[in-house]
Amino acid sequence: MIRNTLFGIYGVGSKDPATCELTHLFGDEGYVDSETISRAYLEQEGRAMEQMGAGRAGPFARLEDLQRYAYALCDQIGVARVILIDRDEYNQKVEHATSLDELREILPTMGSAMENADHSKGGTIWSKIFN
Amino acid sequence: MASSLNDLNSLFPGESIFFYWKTSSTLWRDKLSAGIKGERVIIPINWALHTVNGNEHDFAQKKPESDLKKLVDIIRELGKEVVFFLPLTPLPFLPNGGVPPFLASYQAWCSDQLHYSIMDQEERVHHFYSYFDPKVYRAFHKFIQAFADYLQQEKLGCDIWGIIGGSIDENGEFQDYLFDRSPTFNQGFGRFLQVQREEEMGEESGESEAVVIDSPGKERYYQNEFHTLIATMYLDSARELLAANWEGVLPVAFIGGDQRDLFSRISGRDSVADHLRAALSAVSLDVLPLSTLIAGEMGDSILETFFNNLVSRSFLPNKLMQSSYLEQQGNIFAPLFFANLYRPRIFQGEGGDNHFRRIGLQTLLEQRFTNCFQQLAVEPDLPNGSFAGQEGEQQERELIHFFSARHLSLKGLKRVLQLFMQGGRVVLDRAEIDPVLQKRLDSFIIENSLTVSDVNFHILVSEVRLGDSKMVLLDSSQLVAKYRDGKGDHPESELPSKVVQFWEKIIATFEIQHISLDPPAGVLFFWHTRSANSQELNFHEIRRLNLYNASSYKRKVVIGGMEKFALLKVLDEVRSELHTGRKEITVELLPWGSLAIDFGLYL
Repeated sequence: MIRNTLFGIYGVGSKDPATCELTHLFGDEGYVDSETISRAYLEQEGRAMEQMGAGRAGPFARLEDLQRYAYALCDQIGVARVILIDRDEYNQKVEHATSLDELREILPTMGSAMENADHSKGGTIWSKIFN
Repeated sequence: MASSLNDLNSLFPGESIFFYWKTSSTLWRDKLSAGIKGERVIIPINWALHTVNGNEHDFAQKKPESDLKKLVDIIRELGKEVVFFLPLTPLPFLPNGGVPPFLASYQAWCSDQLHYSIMDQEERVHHFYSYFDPKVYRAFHKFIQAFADYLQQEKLGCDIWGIIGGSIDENGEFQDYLFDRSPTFNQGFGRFLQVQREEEMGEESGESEAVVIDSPGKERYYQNEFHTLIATMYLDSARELLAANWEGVLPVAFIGGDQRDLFSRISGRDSVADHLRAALSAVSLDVLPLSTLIAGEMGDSILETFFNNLVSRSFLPNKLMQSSYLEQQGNIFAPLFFANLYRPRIFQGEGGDNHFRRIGLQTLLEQRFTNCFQQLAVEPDLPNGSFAGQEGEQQERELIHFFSARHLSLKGLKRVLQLFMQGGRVVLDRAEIDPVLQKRLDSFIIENSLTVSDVNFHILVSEVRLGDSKMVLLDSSQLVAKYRDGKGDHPESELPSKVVQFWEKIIATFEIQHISLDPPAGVLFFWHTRSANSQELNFHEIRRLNLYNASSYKRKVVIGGMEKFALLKVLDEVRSELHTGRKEITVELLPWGSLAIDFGLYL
């Protein structure tokens, strides 16, 4: 279940605890690049994001904004789902993983998953051609 | 998790590191005699192997693999030197970061407030526990005492280096593994602030400000102070109890050991090029890079060649040997550096000052002298922590030393002036200089009857000379203000070209002879240098260029500007070809190809 999935670990903002931010956004291709992140942030928030490096996005005033952003990014990148994991839950559960395989099993069970409806509607290339 | 025997990857021949706990003691001799090639064997001490409850310590009383005397005897019988690496921080190749299981209670958190989790070369994940837990420190101190007693009892006169483990983060900065922002750290930090306040209130001398955290910058300042205090406690325990064997402190960057590397490996997207860049960043910060976490990826790959050339044959021996010995051994290649940039600190990474980048100097050095400059702490990050590999006097004289007055104490200024008086070449940025330091500098110039020449070049630049010594004084704030466009300080990407040109001219006055490269994407390189030997009398020195193509594309590198250099030889060619022209050399590197080229610098 690790494939075709965007993972986002989030927590309170590093500069403003009243906000939240994504600190690790990664998927099949590794960390999401800064350019993709910044573009999606600008589209949603209407302002440029301070450069924070690959895989980081924020700040967001509300968790709902962060969730909406992650979903939009998931759609933009073209993956089937995004799993958002709260930092505290990550810290509680990661301790039980002692190997790469265990980590890959545990990660998808954390947080909450949002399925990319457009992705599942898209189907295979054959269905796109013949529909 | 208890340590367990696992014979895989117990030996890292490139760096001569032996994980003694991973192999049955009955197989130590066979493994070492078959695997170690160099003159020394490095033994990291596994604290958790030697104790279960912190009260009793096992050195061969129970577990045969804890018999360090037997191990030392075997290594010496094989004609090798033994060097102990004693962890002063969590380390990523040990379960629980090296902390015995009974102490693995409170998680350590990285700057993102995630539980530190690092993957080793066997894809096992190790979680770090907080060194800010007082129980951990007390148990550590007891262990060091037991270790010291054991060394004395068995008369094991081996060198011991205290290891500050860490990683290179995505900004190329060194983040030491002691760093922690967990609740355990915060509790200790709260107590620290309280003590500070009580001490401030208890001072008799005049008014003092109570410690008030009223800005993120101030909070970071006190957090760093607290971090240094605890790090010093671990260091002092080791240094004092192991004084007879103590050699110094060695910062070590584990390539692939950043928290973000964990997620890259989960995705299966860790990058060879990123590992090589991280290793080069480590060297530029005077931190030893180790490949033990990524060793499983080596073998025929470019990583093995790279680490052999950069670390095993060069940086590591230079770090562990005395500098005076190095100067006698002219034929050992050492990393080539032209400049040192002095910063307030190297450890901790977070909040590191990037003054030299803001004023354009670092940009220029990265373009023209790629991987040929170092960033060092003005004073050692840890009080009483003398660092390995301090440059010898001769090397110090040939470098250009860049200081910023805003980071200098009186002691730091004394060092600057000493460097100058010993024939050194110094550039001192006087922006925000403390008036006391300015006065001291003015007095120094007058007392020594030094001549100061002023020139107006973009800004006022003063040059002080004494024989071969040279000191350039300038104020970078004038430079930045002159070219500011009204929007405030320039982010690095918007630095006017005039600022970079200014630094180019300043450095040109030092007449550095160098071959500048502008390779295509994916090609990484570094330089080494050594003295010319008796058969190379035409040359001042010999320089070696190592080129690596860390991409899956064929690449061409053109090397020009060699008027003062002679091509001597080409070696270690792997999937590469060199073509010589009248004024330039062309190197073709196939994917993952590499080679080395020796140049002689004419007298």
